[in-house]
Amino acid sequence: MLNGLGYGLYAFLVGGLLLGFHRKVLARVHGRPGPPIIQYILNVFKLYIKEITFPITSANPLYLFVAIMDIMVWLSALFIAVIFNHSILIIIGLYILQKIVEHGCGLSSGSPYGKIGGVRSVFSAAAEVPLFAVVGIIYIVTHSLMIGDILNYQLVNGPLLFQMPFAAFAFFILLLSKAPTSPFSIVKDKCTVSGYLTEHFGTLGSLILIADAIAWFTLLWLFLALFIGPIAIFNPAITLVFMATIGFIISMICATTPLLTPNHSVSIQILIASLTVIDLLYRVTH
Amino acid sequence: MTPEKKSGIISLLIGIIGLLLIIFLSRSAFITYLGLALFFPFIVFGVGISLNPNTRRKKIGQLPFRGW
Repeated sequence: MLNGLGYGLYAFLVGGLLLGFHRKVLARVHGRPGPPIIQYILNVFKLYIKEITFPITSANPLYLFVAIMDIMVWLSALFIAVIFNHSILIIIGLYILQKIVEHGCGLSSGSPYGKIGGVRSVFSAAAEVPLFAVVGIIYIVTHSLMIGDILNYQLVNGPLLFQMPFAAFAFFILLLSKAPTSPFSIVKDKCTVSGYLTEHFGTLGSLILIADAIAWFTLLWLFLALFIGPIAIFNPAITLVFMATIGFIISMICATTPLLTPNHSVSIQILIASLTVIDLLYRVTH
Repeated sequence: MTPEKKSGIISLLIGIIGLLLIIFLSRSAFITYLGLALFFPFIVFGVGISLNPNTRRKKIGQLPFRGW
Protein backbone atom coordinates (compact mmCIF):
# COMPACT_ATOMS: atom_id res chain seq x y z
CA MET A 1 0.00 0.00 0.00
CA LEU A 2 2.88 2.36 0.77
CA ASN A 3 4.37 1.43 -2.59
CA GLY A 4 1.11 2.44 -4.25
CA LEU A 5 1.01 5.76 -2.39
CA GLY A 6 4.62 6.36 -3.35
CA TYR A 7 3.85 5.72 -7.02
CA GLY A 8 0.84 8.03 -6.82
CA LEU A 9 2.92 10.80 -5.29
CA TYR A 10 5.68 10.27 -7.87
CA ALA A 11 3.16 10.41 -10.74
CA PHE A 12 1.57 13.57 -9.32
CA LEU A 13 4.94 15.35 -8.88
CA VAL A 14 6.32 14.34 -12.29
CA GLY A 15 3.00 15.03 -14.02
CA GLY A 16 2.77 18.40 -12.28
CA LEU A 17 6.31 19.34 -13.30
CA LEU A 18 5.63 18.29 -16.90
CA LEU A 19 2.46 20.41 -16.97
CA GLY A 20 4.43 23.31 -15.51
CA PHE A 21 7.08 22.74 -18.20
CA HIS A 22 4.29 22.76 -20.80
CA ARG A 23 3.10 26.15 -19.57
CA LYS A 24 6.66 27.50 -19.51
CA VAL A 25 7.32 26.45 -23.13
CA LEU A 26 4.00 28.00 -24.19
CA ALA A 27 4.93 31.28 -22.50
CA ARG A 28 8.42 31.40 -23.99
CA VAL A 29 7.12 30.79 -27.51
CA HIS A 30 4.70 33.67 -26.93
CA GLY A 31 7.55 35.94 -25.80
CA ARG A 32 6.59 35.91 -22.12
CA PRO A 33 8.74 34.72 -19.18
CA GLY A 34 5.97 32.42 -17.93
CA PRO A 35 5.38 31.08 -14.42
CA PRO A 36 7.96 28.86 -12.67
CA ILE A 37 7.88 25.20 -13.64
CA ILE A 38 6.64 24.22 -10.17
CA GLN A 39 3.67 26.61 -10.49
CA TYR A 40 1.24 23.77 -11.18
CA ILE A 41 2.25 22.00 -7.96
CA LEU A 42 2.12 25.29 -6.02
CA ASN A 43 -1.42 25.88 -7.34
CA VAL A 44 -2.48 22.44 -6.10
CA PHE A 45 -1.23 23.14 -2.57
CA LYS A 46 -2.64 26.67 -2.55
CA LEU A 47 -6.11 25.55 -3.63
CA TYR A 48 -6.09 22.52 -1.32
CA ILE A 49 -6.52 24.62 1.82
CA LYS A 50 -8.88 27.24 0.36
CA GLU A 51 -12.43 27.39 1.66
CA ILE A 52 -15.06 25.78 -0.54
CA THR A 53 -18.76 26.45 -0.60
CA PHE A 54 -21.44 24.38 -2.25
CA PRO A 55 -23.28 26.39 -4.93
CA ILE A 56 -26.95 26.64 -4.10
CA THR A 57 -27.81 25.01 -7.46
CA SER A 58 -25.36 22.12 -7.06
CA ALA A 59 -26.49 18.51 -7.06
CA ASN A 60 -24.84 17.03 -4.00
CA PRO A 61 -23.35 14.42 -3.49
CA LEU A 62 -22.56 14.22 -7.24
CA TYR A 63 -20.90 17.64 -7.10
CA LEU A 64 -18.38 16.28 -4.56
CA PHE A 65 -18.13 12.74 -5.84
CA VAL A 66 -17.03 13.58 -9.39
CA ALA A 67 -13.94 15.39 -8.13
CA ILE A 68 -13.07 12.42 -5.89
CA MET A 69 -13.83 10.03 -8.77
CA ASP A 70 -11.35 11.90 -10.98
CA ILE A 71 -8.48 10.84 -8.70
CA MET A 72 -9.93 7.30 -8.38
CA VAL A 73 -9.95 6.88 -12.16
CA TRP A 74 -6.41 8.04 -12.78
CA LEU A 75 -4.87 6.32 -9.75
CA SER A 76 -6.47 3.08 -10.99
CA ALA A 77 -5.13 3.68 -14.51
CA LEU A 78 -1.67 4.40 -13.05
CA PHE A 79 -1.62 1.18 -11.03
CA ILE A 80 -3.08 -1.00 -13.80
CA ALA A 81 -0.77 0.33 -16.52
CA VAL A 82 2.49 1.22 -14.78
CA ILE A 83 2.65 -1.24 -11.88
CA PHE A 84 0.79 -4.30 -13.16
CA ASN A 85 1.27 -3.82 -16.94
CA HIS A 86 -2.26 -5.12 -17.29
CA SER A 87 -4.78 -4.92 -20.15
CA ILE A 88 -5.14 -1.82 -22.35
CA LEU A 89 -8.90 -2.45 -22.48
CA ILE A 90 -9.21 -1.57 -18.79
CA ILE A 91 -7.33 1.64 -19.52
CA ILE A 92 -9.86 2.46 -22.27
CA GLY A 93 -12.68 1.84 -19.82
CA LEU A 94 -11.07 4.18 -17.31
CA TYR A 95 -10.55 6.81 -20.01
CA ILE A 96 -14.26 6.66 -20.76
CA LEU A 97 -14.97 7.08 -17.02
CA GLN A 98 -12.94 10.31 -17.25
CA LYS A 99 -15.54 11.57 -19.73
CA ILE A 100 -18.20 10.89 -17.10
CA VAL A 101 -16.13 12.90 -14.62
CA GLU A 102 -15.82 15.88 -17.00
CA HIS A 103 -19.50 15.76 -17.86
CA GLY A 104 -20.49 15.28 -14.23
CA CYS A 105 -18.29 18.14 -13.03
CA GLY A 106 -19.87 20.49 -15.52
CA LEU A 107 -23.48 19.56 -14.95
CA SER A 108 -23.48 18.89 -11.21
CA SER A 109 -22.85 22.52 -10.23
CA GLY A 110 -25.91 23.96 -11.96
CA SER A 111 -23.80 26.74 -13.48
CA PRO A 112 -24.27 27.56 -17.19
CA TYR A 113 -20.49 27.88 -17.65
CA GLY A 114 -19.89 24.43 -16.26
CA LYS A 115 -22.75 23.13 -18.38
CA ILE A 116 -21.06 24.29 -21.60
CA GLY A 117 -17.83 22.61 -20.55
CA GLY A 118 -19.67 19.43 -19.61
CA VAL A 119 -21.55 19.24 -22.90
CA ARG A 120 -18.39 19.95 -24.92
CA SER A 121 -16.59 17.18 -23.06
CA VAL A 122 -19.09 14.80 -24.64
CA PHE A 123 -18.22 16.24 -28.09
CA SER A 124 -14.55 15.75 -27.35
CA ALA A 125 -15.18 12.04 -26.89
CA ALA A 126 -14.46 12.00 -30.62
CA ALA A 127 -10.78 12.05 -29.59
CA GLU A 128 -11.20 8.64 -27.99
CA VAL A 129 -12.70 6.95 -31.03
CA PRO A 130 -9.24 6.40 -32.61
CA LEU A 131 -8.19 4.69 -29.38
CA PHE A 132 -10.37 1.67 -30.12
CA ALA A 133 -8.90 1.31 -33.60
CA VAL A 134 -5.36 1.77 -32.23
CA VAL A 135 -5.94 -1.01 -29.70
CA GLY A 136 -7.29 -3.22 -32.51
CA ILE A 137 -4.17 -2.59 -34.62
CA ILE A 138 -1.91 -3.33 -31.64
CA TYR A 139 -3.76 -6.62 -31.08
CA ILE A 140 -3.41 -7.66 -34.73
CA VAL A 141 0.35 -7.07 -34.67
CA THR A 142 1.23 -8.30 -31.15
CA HIS A 143 -1.67 -10.78 -30.54
CA SER A 144 -2.14 -9.46 -27.03
CA LEU A 145 -3.76 -6.57 -25.19
CA MET A 146 -1.63 -6.97 -22.06
CA ILE A 147 0.92 -4.18 -21.72
CA GLY A 148 3.51 -6.66 -20.42
CA ASP A 149 3.18 -8.81 -23.57
CA ILE A 150 3.36 -5.74 -25.82
CA LEU A 151 6.58 -4.69 -24.08
CA ASN A 152 8.05 -8.18 -24.55
CA TYR A 153 7.05 -8.10 -28.22
CA GLN A 154 8.92 -4.82 -28.68
CA LEU A 155 11.96 -6.26 -26.90
CA VAL A 156 12.21 -8.81 -29.71
CA ASN A 157 10.79 -6.95 -32.73
CA GLY A 158 11.63 -3.32 -32.01
CA PRO A 159 9.37 -0.32 -31.30
CA LEU A 160 5.81 -0.43 -32.61
CA LEU A 161 6.22 3.22 -33.63
CA PHE A 162 7.91 2.05 -36.86
CA GLN A 163 5.51 -0.84 -37.50
CA MET A 164 2.30 1.16 -37.05
CA PRO A 165 3.19 4.85 -37.44
CA PHE A 166 -0.38 5.93 -38.14
CA ALA A 167 -1.68 4.23 -34.99
CA ALA A 168 1.07 6.01 -33.03
CA PHE A 169 0.00 9.29 -34.66
CA ALA A 170 -3.64 8.66 -33.66
CA PHE A 171 -2.58 8.01 -30.06
CA PHE A 172 -0.43 11.15 -30.18
CA ILE A 173 -3.52 13.15 -31.22
CA LEU A 174 -5.28 11.69 -28.18
CA LEU A 175 -2.40 12.94 -26.00
CA LEU A 176 -2.57 16.31 -27.72
CA SER A 177 -6.31 16.59 -27.07
CA LYS A 178 -5.66 15.94 -23.37
CA ALA A 179 -3.00 18.67 -23.13
CA PRO A 180 -3.99 22.06 -21.70
CA THR A 181 -4.61 24.80 -24.32
CA SER A 182 -4.31 22.33 -27.20
CA PRO A 183 -6.13 23.07 -30.49
CA PHE A 184 -8.58 20.26 -29.59
CA SER A 185 -9.19 21.60 -26.09
CA ILE A 186 -12.81 22.62 -26.68
CA VAL A 187 -13.81 21.77 -23.11
CA LYS A 188 -11.95 24.66 -21.53
CA ASP A 189 -10.61 27.94 -22.83
CA LYS A 190 -7.10 29.23 -22.15
CA CYS A 191 -7.93 30.65 -18.71
CA THR A 192 -7.08 28.83 -15.50
CA VAL A 193 -10.73 28.77 -14.39
CA SER A 194 -13.00 27.74 -17.24
CA GLY A 195 -15.22 25.03 -18.64
CA TYR A 196 -16.29 22.25 -16.33
CA LEU A 197 -13.80 23.45 -13.67
CA THR A 198 -15.56 26.80 -13.20
CA GLU A 199 -17.59 25.82 -10.14
CA HIS A 200 -15.13 23.32 -8.67
CA PHE A 201 -12.82 25.59 -6.72
CA GLY A 202 -10.75 25.35 -3.56
CA THR A 203 -10.19 21.81 -2.30
CA LEU A 204 -12.30 20.29 -5.09
CA GLY A 205 -10.35 22.20 -7.74
CA SER A 206 -7.14 20.96 -6.16
CA LEU A 207 -8.38 17.34 -6.36
CA ILE A 208 -9.08 17.75 -10.08
CA LEU A 209 -5.63 19.26 -10.64
CA ILE A 210 -4.04 16.31 -8.78
CA ALA A 211 -5.96 13.90 -11.01
CA ASP A 212 -4.94 15.81 -14.17
CA ALA A 213 -1.26 15.60 -13.19
CA ILE A 214 -1.49 11.83 -12.59
CA ALA A 215 -3.42 11.49 -15.89
CA TRP A 216 -0.73 13.36 -17.83
CA PHE A 217 1.99 11.13 -16.40
CA THR A 218 0.00 7.94 -17.07
CA LEU A 219 -0.90 8.82 -20.66
CA LEU A 220 2.67 9.80 -21.52
CA TRP A 221 3.94 6.57 -19.94
CA LEU A 222 1.36 4.58 -21.91
CA PHE A 223 2.44 6.17 -25.19
CA LEU A 224 6.07 5.32 -24.45
CA ALA A 225 5.25 1.76 -23.38
CA LEU A 226 3.02 1.00 -26.37
CA PHE A 227 5.04 2.62 -29.15
CA ILE A 228 8.66 3.04 -28.01
CA GLY A 229 8.93 -0.01 -25.77
CA PRO A 230 11.11 -1.15 -22.88
CA ILE A 231 14.04 1.14 -23.74
CA ALA A 232 11.88 4.12 -22.80
CA ILE A 233 10.38 2.88 -19.55
CA PHE A 234 12.77 0.58 -17.71
CA ASN A 235 14.98 3.40 -16.45
CA PRO A 236 13.11 6.26 -14.67
CA ALA A 237 15.66 8.87 -15.80
CA ILE A 238 15.32 7.85 -19.47
CA THR A 239 11.51 7.77 -19.07
CA LEU A 240 11.63 11.36 -17.81
CA VAL A 241 13.74 12.44 -20.77
CA PHE A 242 11.32 10.80 -23.23
CA MET A 243 8.30 12.29 -21.44
CA ALA A 244 9.87 15.76 -21.46
CA THR A 245 10.64 15.40 -25.19
CA ILE A 246 7.10 14.36 -26.10
CA GLY A 247 5.78 17.05 -23.76
CA PHE A 248 7.96 19.63 -25.53
CA ILE A 249 6.63 18.60 -28.96
CA ILE A 250 3.05 18.83 -27.65
CA SER A 251 3.80 22.25 -26.09
CA MET A 252 5.18 23.55 -29.38
CA ILE A 253 2.05 22.41 -31.22
CA CYS A 254 -0.20 23.99 -28.55
CA ALA A 255 1.78 27.25 -28.66
CA THR A 256 1.65 27.64 -32.42
CA THR A 257 -1.92 26.57 -33.22
CA PRO A 258 -5.23 28.27 -32.49
CA LEU A 259 -8.07 26.73 -30.53
CA LEU A 260 -10.35 25.02 -33.02
CA THR A 261 -14.11 25.45 -32.93
CA PRO A 262 -15.97 22.43 -31.53
CA ASN A 263 -17.17 21.48 -35.02
CA HIS A 264 -13.69 21.63 -36.54
CA SER A 265 -12.13 19.82 -33.59
CA VAL A 266 -14.62 16.96 -33.79
CA SER A 267 -14.39 16.82 -37.61
CA ILE A 268 -10.62 16.45 -37.56
CA GLN A 269 -10.72 13.85 -34.80
CA ILE A 270 -13.40 11.84 -36.63
CA LEU A 271 -11.28 12.03 -39.79
CA ILE A 272 -8.27 10.64 -37.93
CA ALA A 273 -10.49 7.96 -36.38
CA SER A 274 -11.79 6.97 -39.84
CA LEU A 275 -8.28 6.70 -41.26
CA THR A 276 -7.23 4.60 -38.25
CA VAL A 277 -10.19 2.29 -38.77
CA ILE A 278 -9.24 1.96 -42.47
CA ASP A 279 -5.71 1.04 -41.37
CA LEU A 280 -7.16 -1.56 -39.00
CA LEU A 281 -9.40 -3.07 -41.70
CA TYR A 282 -6.48 -3.19 -44.11
CA ARG A 283 -4.38 -5.10 -41.60
CA VAL A 284 -7.24 -7.49 -40.83
CA THR A 285 -7.79 -8.33 -44.50
CA HIS A 286 -4.09 -8.58 -45.51
CA MET B 1 -21.45 22.55 11.39
CA THR B 2 -21.49 23.64 7.74
CA PRO B 3 -22.44 21.15 4.99
CA GLU B 4 -18.87 21.34 3.71
CA LYS B 5 -17.38 20.23 7.05
CA LYS B 6 -19.98 17.47 7.32
CA SER B 7 -19.08 16.21 3.87
CA GLY B 8 -15.39 16.23 4.82
CA ILE B 9 -15.99 14.14 7.95
CA ILE B 10 -18.16 11.63 6.08
CA SER B 11 -15.57 11.41 3.32
CA LEU B 12 -12.78 10.81 5.86
CA LEU B 13 -14.82 8.04 7.52
CA ILE B 14 -15.53 6.36 4.18
CA GLY B 15 -11.86 6.52 3.24
CA ILE B 16 -10.54 5.17 6.56
CA ILE B 17 -13.11 2.37 6.83
CA GLY B 18 -12.57 1.42 3.19
CA LEU B 19 -8.79 1.29 3.55
CA LEU B 20 -9.03 -0.77 6.75
CA LEU B 21 -11.36 -3.23 5.01
CA ILE B 22 -8.93 -3.53 2.13
CA ILE B 23 -5.95 -4.04 4.44
CA PHE B 24 -7.63 -6.79 6.47
CA LEU B 25 -9.70 -8.55 3.81
CA SER B 26 -7.73 -8.32 0.60
CA ARG B 27 -5.72 -11.37 -0.43
CA SER B 28 -4.29 -10.09 -3.68
CA ALA B 29 -1.95 -7.22 -4.49
CA PHE B 30 -4.14 -6.15 -7.44
CA ILE B 31 -7.24 -5.76 -5.24
CA THR B 32 -5.17 -3.93 -2.59
CA TYR B 33 -3.90 -1.41 -5.14
CA LEU B 34 -7.35 -0.88 -6.65
CA GLY B 35 -8.84 -0.51 -3.17
CA LEU B 36 -6.20 2.11 -2.44
CA ALA B 37 -7.12 3.93 -5.67
CA LEU B 38 -10.79 3.76 -4.68
CA PHE B 39 -10.65 4.91 -1.05
CA PHE B 40 -7.57 7.12 -0.78
CA PRO B 41 -9.18 10.06 -2.66
CA PHE B 42 -11.87 10.21 0.04
CA ILE B 43 -9.14 10.69 2.63
CA VAL B 44 -7.46 13.36 0.48
CA PHE B 45 -10.76 15.29 0.32
CA GLY B 46 -11.50 14.82 4.01
CA VAL B 47 -8.06 16.07 5.06
CA GLY B 48 -8.37 19.03 2.68
CA ILE B 49 -11.71 20.06 4.17
CA SER B 50 -10.34 19.78 7.70
CA LEU B 51 -7.54 22.18 6.68
CA ASN B 52 -10.04 24.71 5.29
CA PRO B 53 -10.36 27.87 7.40
CA ASN B 54 -13.60 28.32 9.38
CA THR B 55 -16.16 30.11 7.30
CA ARG B 56 -17.18 33.67 8.07
CA ARG B 57 -20.41 33.26 6.14
CA LYS B 58 -23.49 33.97 8.20
CA LYS B 59 -25.93 32.45 5.76
CA ILE B 60 -25.40 29.49 3.44
CA GLY B 61 -24.80 30.56 -0.17
CA GLN B 62 -23.77 34.10 0.75
CA LEU B 63 -20.19 35.25 0.97
CA PRO B 64 -19.13 37.69 3.72
CA PHE B 65 -18.49 41.04 2.06
CA ARG B 66 -19.86 44.55 2.47
CA GLY B 67 -22.80 44.12 0.08
CA TRP B 68 -24.59 41.73 2.41
